[in-house]
Amino acid sequence: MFCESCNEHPATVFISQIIGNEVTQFRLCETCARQRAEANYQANHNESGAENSEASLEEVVFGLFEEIEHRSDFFSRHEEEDSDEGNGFSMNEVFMELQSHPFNDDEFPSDEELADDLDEMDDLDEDFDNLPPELAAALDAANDSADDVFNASLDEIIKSNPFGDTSERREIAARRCPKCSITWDRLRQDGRAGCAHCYETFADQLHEVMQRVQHAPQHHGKKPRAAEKRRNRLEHLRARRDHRLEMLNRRLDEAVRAEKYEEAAKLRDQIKMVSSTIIQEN
Amino acid sequence: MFYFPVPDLQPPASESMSFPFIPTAFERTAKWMRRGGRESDIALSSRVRLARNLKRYEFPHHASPQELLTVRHKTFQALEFNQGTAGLNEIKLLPFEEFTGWERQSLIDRYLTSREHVGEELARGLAATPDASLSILINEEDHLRLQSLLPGLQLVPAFDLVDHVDDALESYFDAHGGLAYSQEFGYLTACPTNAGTGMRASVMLHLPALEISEKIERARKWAEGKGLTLRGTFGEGSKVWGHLHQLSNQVTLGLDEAEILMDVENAAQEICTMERQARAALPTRHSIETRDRIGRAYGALRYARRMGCREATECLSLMRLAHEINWAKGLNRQRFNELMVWIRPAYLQVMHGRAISGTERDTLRCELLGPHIAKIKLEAAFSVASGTRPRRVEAPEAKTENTSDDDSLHSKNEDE
Repeated sequence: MFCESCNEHPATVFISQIIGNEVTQFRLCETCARQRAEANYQANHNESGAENSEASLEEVVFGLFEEIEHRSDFFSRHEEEDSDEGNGFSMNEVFMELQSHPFNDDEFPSDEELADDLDEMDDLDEDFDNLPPELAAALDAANDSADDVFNASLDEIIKSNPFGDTSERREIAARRCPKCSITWDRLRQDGRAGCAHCYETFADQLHEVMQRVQHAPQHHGKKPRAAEKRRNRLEHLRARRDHRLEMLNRRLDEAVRAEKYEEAAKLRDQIKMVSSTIIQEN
Repeated sequence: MFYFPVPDLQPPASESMSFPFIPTAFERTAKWMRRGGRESDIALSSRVRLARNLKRYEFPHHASPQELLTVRHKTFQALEFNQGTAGLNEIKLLPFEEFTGWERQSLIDRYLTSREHVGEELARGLAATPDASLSILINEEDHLRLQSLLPGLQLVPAFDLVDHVDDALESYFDAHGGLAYSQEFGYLTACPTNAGTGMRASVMLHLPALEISEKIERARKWAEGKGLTLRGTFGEGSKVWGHLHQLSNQVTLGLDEAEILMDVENAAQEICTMERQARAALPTRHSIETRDRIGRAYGALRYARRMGCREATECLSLMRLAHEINWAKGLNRQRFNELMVWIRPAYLQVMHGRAISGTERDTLRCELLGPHIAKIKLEAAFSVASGTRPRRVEAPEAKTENTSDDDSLHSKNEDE
């Protein structure tokens, strides 16, 4: 339905005025309502210095607008400061917060702590039930507009957190070491790995653990000589392969320049074969 | 003397290669008890432990008994094979199934192993030299824990000792699947807090003055700031017995061995300095308290007929302090080190040969200590009280009416 006064814009402000037994209803668009309120407010206050015993309708509306504006200012201001406190808390965020401590059981909130958090959130809801209706309506309106801002930042959080994606989290929870078949949860609970292969299976999680618990997640210091010999051999093989590639490339260039295309084709195949071999430790 | 094994007790029949009876496996005086190393007045021993695992088998917590038996068998073979290497020529192999609970417990008393290790007997074992300077725990938390135990503060020689054994065993195990090692995480251990170098370097420090002057918390926090822990030795979970504290590194990954050793050694040096300063201040700052404690300890040790292990350890620790600050003399450091182990319950039990009750042990303890304590003499410096002397309190005037010559409790006068 359209605004009563301008008939152009849709009506968004609906006022029911009840004086005694008399009920009057107005349907106005925001602009018209504001204009009317301002005009009448000015008129009333210019006429007489004394206050009117009855607050006029326009004054009430104008006052309401002011309140609404104040409230929405309040929300947008606080949204920037801390987005995970107060009523901007979603269950999704709670789970992500819990997931982001992979190892140290001391930091994992206990069941009691979790229950306390949820109870606190329930208490907040109770307070909201007792607000005067206009204020509640105004708050709802403000919340709706702020939601868009909030949802955008939530997406960002999900993307940055490696465990944020639910499917990946499920995959990690289900992953078992191929040798001793323990899960990451089991490792965390016992505080012990099951076998040497666990370090490979859960490399990322353990990397994070080491970062927190140890000095650095990379080993310096004594290496077993066999491992060192193997690595030296790998280096040696890689160097040889690179050298061979270099030589083949050189010959290819020469062949192309000398227009010996058959030879060039053969060389090209050889290069493709050599460069596709991957030398790595098993 | 009761601390030699009872003659009619036969060792269990076992194979040729040294599976001996525990009391005969070890010398009464271990290497760490003797003279050696620096700061011997405060640092009693230095220990370096390397944790290693075999790649092919699951870690002891998860492995099947067959796997664990294989690991132990292979380790014994590796040690036999390497008998010629430095330090391994005298090594004795002790599979736990062959020993009673008390004998296994006595290994804890000798500072060789932990409660978790001796709790289980299947497929666990220990290989050690008779002077306990070098030992290898098999299937404790990891497959192999090589450790060296030397007197005083000498972490680098302790590390060298255990390093050579590590090299020797590694080259043997290369032919049997190799050790568990990764480029990123270093030597792989059951507990990620041990991974990397797998090395735990610790120094046992005797800190009675810091405890009496209540500065021990400050020392502990200072050590934690350096990434080290200062905990009690005996008793798990940092309970301190006999003012003995163990300083060890917490981090094993990301630093190389030389750095870790240097950190622990420097910190130990610093704490020794703190303790020495505190000891120098005791006669003046804490005169009455120190004298009181030492006096009581001396009295108890000298005249008690039964004493529990904890009390005896505390008393011996205070007598040791008295010796170090020249308020007493008669015993040397080695004797204190020896007594500290000889009074422990499992050690007493095993040395005595037959099962005895707690009370009997308490009596034996005092019998053992008797002749040694008798050698202690308190010096004059101990008896002289320095600082303010309390005012002499006047005795109340004697009333002449009701006094009688017979001052006994049983009054003859019925009217009284």
